[in-house]
Formats: sequence, C-alpha cells, structure tokens
Amino acid sequence: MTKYFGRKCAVRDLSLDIEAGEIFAFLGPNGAGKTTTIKMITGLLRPTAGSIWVSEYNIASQGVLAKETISYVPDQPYLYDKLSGREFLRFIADLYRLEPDIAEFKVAQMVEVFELEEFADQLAESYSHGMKQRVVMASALLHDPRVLVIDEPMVGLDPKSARAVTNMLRDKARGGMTIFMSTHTLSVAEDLADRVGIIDRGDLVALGSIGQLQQRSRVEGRLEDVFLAITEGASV
Amino acid sequence: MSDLGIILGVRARTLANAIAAIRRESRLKMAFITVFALAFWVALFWGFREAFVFISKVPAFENLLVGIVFSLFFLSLLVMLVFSNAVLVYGSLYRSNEVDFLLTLPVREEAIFMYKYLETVLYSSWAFIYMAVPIIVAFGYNRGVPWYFYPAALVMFVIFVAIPAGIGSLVSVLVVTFVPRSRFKLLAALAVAALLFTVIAGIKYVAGAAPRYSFGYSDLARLTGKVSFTQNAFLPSLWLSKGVLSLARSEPKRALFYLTVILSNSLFVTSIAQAASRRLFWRSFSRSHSADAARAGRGRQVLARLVDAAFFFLPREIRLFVVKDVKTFVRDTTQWSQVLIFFGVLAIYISNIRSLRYDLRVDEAKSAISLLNLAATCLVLSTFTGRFIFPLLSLEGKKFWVLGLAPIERKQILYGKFYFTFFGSLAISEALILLSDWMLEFPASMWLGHAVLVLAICAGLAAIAVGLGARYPNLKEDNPAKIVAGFGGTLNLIVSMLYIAAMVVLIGLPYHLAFARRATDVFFYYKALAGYLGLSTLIGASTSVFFLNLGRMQFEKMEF
Repeated sequence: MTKYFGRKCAVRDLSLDIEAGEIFAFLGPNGAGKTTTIKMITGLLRPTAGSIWVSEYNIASQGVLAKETISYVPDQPYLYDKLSGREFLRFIADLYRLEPDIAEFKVAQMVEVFELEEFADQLAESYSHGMKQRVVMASALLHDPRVLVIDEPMVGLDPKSARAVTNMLRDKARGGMTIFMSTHTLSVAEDLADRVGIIDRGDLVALGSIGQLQQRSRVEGRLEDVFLAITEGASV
Repeated sequence: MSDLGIILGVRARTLANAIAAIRRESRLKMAFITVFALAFWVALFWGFREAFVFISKVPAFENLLVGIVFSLFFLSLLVMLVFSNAVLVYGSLYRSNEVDFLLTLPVREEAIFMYKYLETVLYSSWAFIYMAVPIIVAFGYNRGVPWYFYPAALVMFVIFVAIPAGIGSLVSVLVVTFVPRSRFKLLAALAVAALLFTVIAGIKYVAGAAPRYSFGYSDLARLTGKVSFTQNAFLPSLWLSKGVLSLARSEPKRALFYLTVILSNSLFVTSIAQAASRRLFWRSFSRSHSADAARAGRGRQVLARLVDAAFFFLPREIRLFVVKDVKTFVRDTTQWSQVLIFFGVLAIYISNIRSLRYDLRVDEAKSAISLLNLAATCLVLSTFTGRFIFPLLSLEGKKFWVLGLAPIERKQILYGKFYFTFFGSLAISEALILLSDWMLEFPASMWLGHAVLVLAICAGLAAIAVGLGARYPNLKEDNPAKIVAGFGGTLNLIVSMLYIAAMVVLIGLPYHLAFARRATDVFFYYKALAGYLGLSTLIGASTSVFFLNLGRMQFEKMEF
C-alpha cells in the first residue's frame, strides 16, 4: 500500500504479510510512517494505492466485518470523560454484540486482570494516563479479537502493569492472536517480537527476525544497535 | 439494538453523568445560567409582546405584518442554522477524537454520521427553540390562540430544524470531499465575507424601505415589496410561518398540510444526507486527515516583526509573549473567524447608522443608541475575552516546563497576555465606537468621553480575563471549551458582565443624561464630563490593577 499526504509520500509500496499467532514489531524513527500505516490497517485512513486485508476481509470494502476481528490500542487512549471505566467496557461489549451474560462475565474478568476495581466506577476524567491505558487495553481484549494493533503498548504503564501486559501479549499470541505492535521501546520489541519491520521515511527498509536483521546488517549487538545501523545506513 | 442505538445510548449516559457532576460541583454556574437564561427569555417575550400589541393596533394590516415578521424571522434563522450546522458538523465529524475512535470499531460509517447529525440537530434545535419559544408565546398570548397551538408549534419547530441541519451536513461533507484542504482557509474567509456581504446588502435593501418620519400605507406597500423574497413558496421558513399562523387562526387542516410539507422535506433532506454519508463519509474523513503539514507563512513572519516593532515600549520578554499570542491568534481559524464575524456584523450595523436614519433623530434618541452601541461592543468583547483569553494561561499547562525554566519573571508572562488582549481589543472597540459617534454626528466631547470609557472597559476586561485565568487555572485540560465551562470561566463571565453593566449604567448613563441637558445647562455638562472622565479612568485602572495582582500573586507561587 501507498499513502500520500498532499505531495508528500508517507508510506511507499509497503507490502506485509503477518501470520496468525505472530507478534510483529513495527519500528521506525519519528515521522517514518508507522502511525499512518496503523491508521490504514484500522480503517481510519484510505490508502492512496493498494489494499489491506485483516483476517480474510478487505478493510475498504468489508470494513465492519474486518473491524469485528480487530482491536486497536492507540498511544493516546480515547475514553469518554463522563463515563466510568466499567460503563465504557459495557459500551464496547454492546458494540461488539456480546451476549449480555457473556459481556458481564468478560467485563468482570477484564476488571480483575487489569486491576481496575479500585477506579472502575469513577468517571474517566479523573484517570491518569496509565489508568486510561489499562482500561483501553481491557476494552481491546474484551471480544477476543483475532488481530490486535497496538501503538506504544508500554507508555504510561507502571512496571507491574507493563509486566502484566507483556505476559498477556505472549499468552494471546500463543492462543493464535496476531499482534501488530508499533513502539520506540526497543527492549519491548526485542523481548516480544517474532519478526520486526523497520520503516524509514515511508519505505520498509528491513524485515525479518532479530537474528536475520543482525546478520543482514552485520551488527552483533542489541536491537537498538541494529536499528541505528539500518536507519542511518542503506536498506537491508 | 442497532449501532446507532448503542452509541446514542452511551451518549445519553454521558449526558446524565455530566448533569449529575454539574449538579454536584457547580451550583453557582447552574444558578447563573438559569437566571441569565430566564432573564433573556423574559426580555425577549416582553419585547415581542410589545411589538405584537403595536401591530394589533392596526387590525387591517395585522395579518400581513405578522406574516412578514414571521417569515423574515424564520428565514434569518434558516440561513444562520444552515451556516452553523455546516460548521458544527465539520467540527464534530472531522475534528473529533471520538470519530477517530468509533471508526476503529465495527460500526457502519453511516451510523457514525447519523449519530453526529442527530447530535447537531439537538444542538441547533435547543438554541432555535430557546429563541423561538418566547416569540411564539408572546404571539399566542396576545392573539388568544387555542390550547393546541403551543405543543403543535413546538413539534413543527423540532421537525423544521432537521432541514437546515441536513443541508448544512451535506454542504460540510461535500466541501471536505471535493475541496482541497489547502483551500479551506480561503473558503472559510470567502464564507465569512459572503455572510458579511449578505448583512450589508440586507441592511441597505431593507433600509431603503425605512420611513423617514412617519409610517403610512405607501410605506407598508414598499416594505411588503422589499421583503417579498421571504414569500417564495419553496422556502421552508415560509412553510413554518404559514403553519404557525394557520394554527393560530384555528385552521387545523391547513396547519396539518404545512406540518406534512415540513416533515416530508425534513425526511427527504435527511435521506439525501444519509445516502451521501454512505458513499462519501469515509472518503472525506480520510481526505481530511491526509493533508500535508501546515507551514508558517512568510507573510506572518512579517506580521510578527511588525507587532514586535509596534510594541517597542514593552520589555523584550513581554514582547516575546505578545508576538507568540498574535501568531497563535492569526493561525487559529476559530479565533479570527469568530472575531471577524461578531465585530464585522457590528461594524456593518454601525456603518449603516445613517442608512437607518438614526442620525436624524433627536439628541435623546441618538444618545440612547450610542450607549446601546457601546454596551453591545463591550458585550461582544467580553465573549471574546471569556472564550479565548481566560483559558490562555491554562493552555500553557503542558508547556510550563518551558515557561517555568525560562530566565524570566513569571509576572511577565501574565503581563504579556494582558497587553496582547488590551491593545488588541482596544484597537477594535475604539474604532467601532468612534465610527458610531461619527455616524451619529456627535460633538468632540462625546468622542472623548466614549474613547476614555472604552479604554477603561478594555483594560478592565483584559485584566479580569487574564487575572482570573491565572487565579483559577486548569492545567490538565487541553480543550479551551472545557476550561471555560469550569468555575473560573463562569466567574469570569459573571464579573465581566457586572463590570460592563457598572461602567455603562453607573458611569455612562449619567453622562449621557447630562449630555441630553447640555443645551440648557452647559456648565453642568462640562462638570459631568470631567467627573465622568475621572471616574472612568479611576475605576478602569483600579479594576485592572486589582485583577492583575490577584492573578500575579497566585501565578508566582503556583507549582506545576
């Protein structure tokens, strides 16, 4: 897919195939095209050229079906200020058409897993960034999506919550969920990702497992060194 | 339940929670809003009742005149509603985080569009009904209408509102889909210019029919001819006018006919808007978010240098903040367009004072008109300081690491905002008031008196907004509308209104009364002028110092 903003090419000829159960880390410098790509995958933006298939659905022509199988956790979580966390979770359950008793069970489960009990009945306007992030994360997993798109998963989370999210992502991937993750925290990508894609100025400049990227870039160090070598040098 | 039903359900829940929060948190705000709303209603009811009583004194022409009043009034509201709905729908569909969020969920785009469309209908209908109810009640009260007139008229209004909402939504979606985003500002400027031009043309056109000294049959015929465009059978405002009049005349069949016409057209327009959204909404949304980043224009750098040079008398640190705020103002379409529309309409009205023959009236009437012009200008100014200046310091909240670490005294930030507001509002307000005095052919002493009073009011309003903004900041909020809606914003509104009322009624009015007596007692007039100038300066200066100090004391010890 390709996306132009006016005359500027934000994403150029990006072609990716991500398997079920795979954790894919999408990396790149600021302004490289990561968020634009995510917005196209989640149906917020139309690609200028090309097409996107989520599960077996085309996001452009079968948007609602595709979105039933996908969840998105943005880096700036959106909650209704005047709804409590619990009310927000019930709203999401209704939109995904969960049966009422299943919805109640899932909401209670998510409140417990993400430790929301203490503030679940307060209005979201009083939440910190981390609290909002936990509620949004809980809402994203409420309907057991087949694909989870997540932008900066650890931003605003305390170490305990970050650990819980890491473990949860691993478990979900083992259960067959595809996870598309964009992050600047390279240690998270290193820890979790099966494959890594690096985008720079709209071009996919590297794609493969961390080992493959180390080989191709001839850098033996951590992912951070590989990333810097790739984004400062030629494509790998 | 449908997607739309689920979203509307959650919206109702947020509204209920918001109302509960307001009832718990801000009794002062609720009390102020209620009192102000009721007072405005009573004033509107009283004014229109007087007008209807006057019209009923000429039974032969009563029906004709009421028909003209209604069709003109509803046509004006129709035009304003189309314009405001287009702007509201643009903001709520294309510039809302909520739509970004909803689009990632399995919700049909059509449902999101309809949700925002209904929200807009609700917003515009309450304002429309708020304005129309006192007029209809005044009319019904004067006319002795059957009981069903009131509920049936209300139903007609609610259904009518869907027509401008549908047209406005359609315009908004079509503009975003087909007009390049780079042309948006040009289009906004053209729309504002078209609106102002319509006001000018309207005043000139109708003023041509205004009688010079008396009102006779030929004047009525001329006036009827001038407003015959409001009687076009294709105008929804005419259907509403005729429907309401049929109800008042106890002609239920005729009223039902007009109700059906309005209903069918409302549904028709809504269906077209819905069909357009099905095809175009996602495309237009994606397009509106796919523009290249805006760049700072070279012309605006020149403006910044000019502002910097114009404020040469201020310390450099304060000048930096003034220039920053001027740049922000010029680049924020919401701010400059609102200032342009409000003050533009006032400027057009004032520049047409002679077309309206106000200059030919007796001194007492001219004096009253000029005082009302002054009050109107200051009230418009207070809405600007309340909406845009009060939240300025709160909006610095996320950037306080810049300001907090900068090698400047904090009070200079405060003074920078004060000077920006004071000089900006002074330039506009003085120009308007002096234009009004020139149009009304007042002597130089009146010019001087008004210039000093406006100076004092501008300084006071700027200090109140900046001072209270620093005293009651909301550093966590990014949305200026929410900052304004809090306790500090409400207090700012109340204090600003009281300040204007005090300056206009307690200082301006006695001076104007003395002005009316100047022919018989010129010595008394000049004594009154001297007292008036002294008092205006004293109150303006003491209010400014008090509120700036109030803000400064809080701002200097504030922890971020």
